[in-house]
Amino acid sequence: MTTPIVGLAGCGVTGSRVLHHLAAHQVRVAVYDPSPALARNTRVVRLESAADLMACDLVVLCGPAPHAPLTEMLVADATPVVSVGDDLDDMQALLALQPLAERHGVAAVVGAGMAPGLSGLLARYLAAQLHTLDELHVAVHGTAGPQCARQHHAALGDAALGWHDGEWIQPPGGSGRDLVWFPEPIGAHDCYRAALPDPLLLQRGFPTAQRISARVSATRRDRLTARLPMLTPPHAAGDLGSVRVEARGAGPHGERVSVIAGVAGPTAELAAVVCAATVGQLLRHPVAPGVHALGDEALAGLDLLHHATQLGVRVQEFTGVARATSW
Amino acid sequence: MRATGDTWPHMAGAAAQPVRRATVATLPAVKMLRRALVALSLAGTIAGLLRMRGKGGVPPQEGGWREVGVPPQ
Repeated sequence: MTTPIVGLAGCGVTGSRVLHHLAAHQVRVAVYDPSPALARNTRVVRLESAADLMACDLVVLCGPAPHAPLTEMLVADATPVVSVGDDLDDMQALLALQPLAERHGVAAVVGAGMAPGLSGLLARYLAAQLHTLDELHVAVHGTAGPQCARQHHAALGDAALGWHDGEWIQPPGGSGRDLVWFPEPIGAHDCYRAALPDPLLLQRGFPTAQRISARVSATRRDRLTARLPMLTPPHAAGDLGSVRVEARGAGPHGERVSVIAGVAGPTAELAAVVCAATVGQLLRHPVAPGVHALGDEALAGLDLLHHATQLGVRVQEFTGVARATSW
Repeated sequence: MRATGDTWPHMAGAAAQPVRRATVATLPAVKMLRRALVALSLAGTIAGLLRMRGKGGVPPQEGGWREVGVPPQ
């Protein structure tokens, strides 16, 4: 049996970390990235065109959106795909590839980063602690690379997506302020609704939830300039980030229960660890054909949150009583 | 009937002290300043009362974060 080859499309801030994790586990990786920075790195196997990715056993998409066109090409060639994309429109296009993936008998795992990705794994972890799950609320802080920062900036200016009492709502981005306490060292930040794909994916994985929302942290300047180009260049290497998931529901005796979990760390590193854990598990345990997200029941058998913790993710739980702020 | 001060003492006093009228009109600017001062003092008093009645801006301090292990399934 030959060692599988993983194709990596996009070797930026997140992609380079995914490459590092996969290489550390003796996975052979071939990289496709037209940027000149990669040309100077002579230690990686470099692919000349995106079509060469079809020769790989599995392809990881870490570049900027859109991922849907390349995913469609790879799925049509029966090549499994893992995408870390977090663009809402792109995610809808990726989910629409479900019939194509089933027809070609191949799995595509979408939203395999920090949020979506780790957010789905935390939601699954919290839902197991509840007898009945009613609500899921995700909050995100931090960006991985410059493209991710631009994506978050644009998301704050677009119409958000939320699942509210059994129907989709589209509140304006930048609305719905909520003061959220993230795990240390991130602390408290005001978070607002934005065009994030988490509700879209979580609603698929948790169809019984009546309310699902996603918010992203922002400052007053971020909100003011959300519909304009970024005024200041984003962090070249990303920054510290966090994802926090709150699940509300009922206990076995009908009592109301809220459970909260979160993770904090370098955003790109968290996304890369989750992505690498997903790739590692998919190489060992193939899953059913179709388009899957990390919170889906179909991927529960992969035990991805445990494997992510093995690679360095530190899951934290909020202890105490979750209640509305009174000030 | 005589209309004397002895018969109508209150009328007699009024006749002795004629009604005093302001002879110099208050300047509009002074009137506005006076109203502003009254409004400010009223606002300050109400704000002070509200602040004394409130519980203060203390954020919730219950609970905290604790690392948990995620065992294999």
